[in-house]
Formats: sequence, structure tokens, C-alpha cells
Amino acid sequence: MDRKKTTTKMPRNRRHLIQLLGVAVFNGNFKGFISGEIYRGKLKSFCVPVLNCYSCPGSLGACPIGGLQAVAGSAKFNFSFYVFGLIALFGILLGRFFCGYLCPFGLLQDLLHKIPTPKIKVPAKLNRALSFIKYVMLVGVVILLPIVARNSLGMSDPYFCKYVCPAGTIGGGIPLVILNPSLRHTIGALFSWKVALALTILTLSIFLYRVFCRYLCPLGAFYGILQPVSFYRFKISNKCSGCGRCARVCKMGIDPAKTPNSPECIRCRDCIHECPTGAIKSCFGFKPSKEKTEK
Amino acid sequence: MDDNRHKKHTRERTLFQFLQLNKWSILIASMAVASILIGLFRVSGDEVKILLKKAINICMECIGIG
Repeated sequence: MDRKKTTTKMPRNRRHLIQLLGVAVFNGNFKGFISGEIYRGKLKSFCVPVLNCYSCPGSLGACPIGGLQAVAGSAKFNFSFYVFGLIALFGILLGRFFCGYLCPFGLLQDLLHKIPTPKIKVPAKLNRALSFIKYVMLVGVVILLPIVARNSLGMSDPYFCKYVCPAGTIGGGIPLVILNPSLRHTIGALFSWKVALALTILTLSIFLYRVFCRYLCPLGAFYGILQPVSFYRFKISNKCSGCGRCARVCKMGIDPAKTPNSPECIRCRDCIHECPTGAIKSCFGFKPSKEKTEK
Repeated sequence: MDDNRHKKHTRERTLFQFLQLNKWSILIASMAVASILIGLFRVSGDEVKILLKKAINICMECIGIG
């Protein structure tokens, strides 16, 4: 019976197809990649659930991290209830599922990691320490800095977007600079810094799986905080034999048998595919009758 | 008749248990929805207008120019 169940699982490579679909849906303004102009419709008042720069020529929605900073940096408000509520809703419903299945920058890192080179395995302690950086990014750089570091007009820069975000550089900066000759004359040290940082992150992604998502992404950090209580969750049944295959296959360095709802899990479902006994299951919400089997 | 009542009772109990087990998730989801509504109606929707204004213009800082 278990064997029958494993054969009906969704193929692993289907995830990349869904990711590609996500890229196409969130960046559906294809003519922008020819004209060099961004989409200016009402859809942009809605935030997409992934890190997708609203200055990307194809982008149809607003980036939630950019949106949080844009509102917080305005003279009128210092916090965006609307954007915060949207990402909290996304997070509580599906946790980091968006990271694994829909994020365009996640897909780029996934594809780069497929380049056949020796891979780096970060020691668990160092991995845990480095993963705290993304929480600092979220609380310090995205939320607090725009409130604290304001100019005389009471406005502030979107610090994360301006100095860190590689998704903005790859999706917005580079295409716009290529497509708009007028922008080419305005690039300077900041653009060079951002391109260098983006290239460093992309190069590291070849050797280390999802380096940006693990250590720097503030949106991943937000979803990660909500993941242990999100409706979409993994559970381990008593069929688990403790073979450790799930931990070995996990590229995010988690042991799913011990922490199935870890804040670091991007819900790629590799562990579910790998489990020989079908002990790892995904479900929506805590189920009353099966609660005892959950670890 | 009794069978129907029993089924209804079981359904209600399961729903109650589901709500009880997912109380934190439901609470956070409700707060998220409330937060969205506050944002939508705060100062006659200015929060969304600021977001839209930022998103429909090329953000020079975001692309590393400003």
C-alpha cells in the first residue's frame, strides 16, 4: 500500500515547472522586456508573495519587502499595516512554501546549484549562526532602519533594496540599464556594489544551496517565523524508521524527522520523495484524529 | 434520524477540535486580515496609494542607481 502511495507522488522536477510558472505569472508584462518600461497598472497595489522587484520590467505586482520599506520610508507613515498583513496572511497559510515553489530568485539559485561542481556543506553550528543574519535583515534593516534613519523631511531610503537586494539588481537594475540608454549614464558606485554583491551571491549559489534564502532573505525570515504555526505543515507518522535519509537529502541542512516544521524548511518536498516508508506527509492544519502521530 | 444527529454531532466535534488545535494559526490569520483592513482604510487608503505610487515608477534605489 505504501509502495502504491509513493508511485503517485508528484515528480520532483514538477517543482521547477511550477517555479517557472510563478516567474511567468509574477512577471507577465513581457513587452516590458522589449520596451524597457515597467508595468504601471492597478495590479501593482497588490503584493506578490515572493521577492520580485517591482522595478523589474516584467513585474505585475509589488514586492512585499520593497512595499514595507516604501510605506515606512514615506513622510506620512512609518509602518505598513497593509503589506505586513498581506505577508502575514501568506505566511500563516503556507509558510515558506512560496520560497520553494514560487520565488523567481529561488529558482535562479536552484538552477545555478545544478551546475556540476563540488558542493560546500556548512557545519551545523555555523549554518545556524549564519541563518540569524536574515532575521537581523528583517527586523533591523527592513523594519527598524526606515523608522530610525530618516532625513530632515521625515523620509528614509529603502535600505535593504538599495544596498543589499540581489533580486532587484538581477530582475530590475540590469535589464533596465541594458534597455534604457538614459539610465546607463547615471550608474555609479552604488550600482557597481549591487552588481558585485549579486554576482557574489549567485556564484556562491553554485556551491552552496540557496545561500541568499538561508542567510539573507528577510521575506524568508518572516515566513520562517510563522512556519511552525502555519496551516500548511509537514508531519511525521509513526511509520518513521529513523533511517535518516530525509536529513541526508535535505539541501537546507534540516533533519525533517526531528523538526518537520523548521523555520529553515523551504517545503521543496525532497524529504517526502526520499522517505522509504512514506512517513512524512504534508497537510493543511492540525488534524484532530491524527494529532498523536505528530512529533 | 438518530444516525443523522450522530453524524452532525461528530462533525461539530471535529470542527471544534480543529479550531482548538489550530487556534494560534487562526488567531494570526485573523490578525493578518485585520491588519490588511486597517492598512486599506487608514487615512482614506493613503497607505495603498503610497505603495502603488512607488511600485509604478522605477525605483532608482531598488535598482542601485538612486
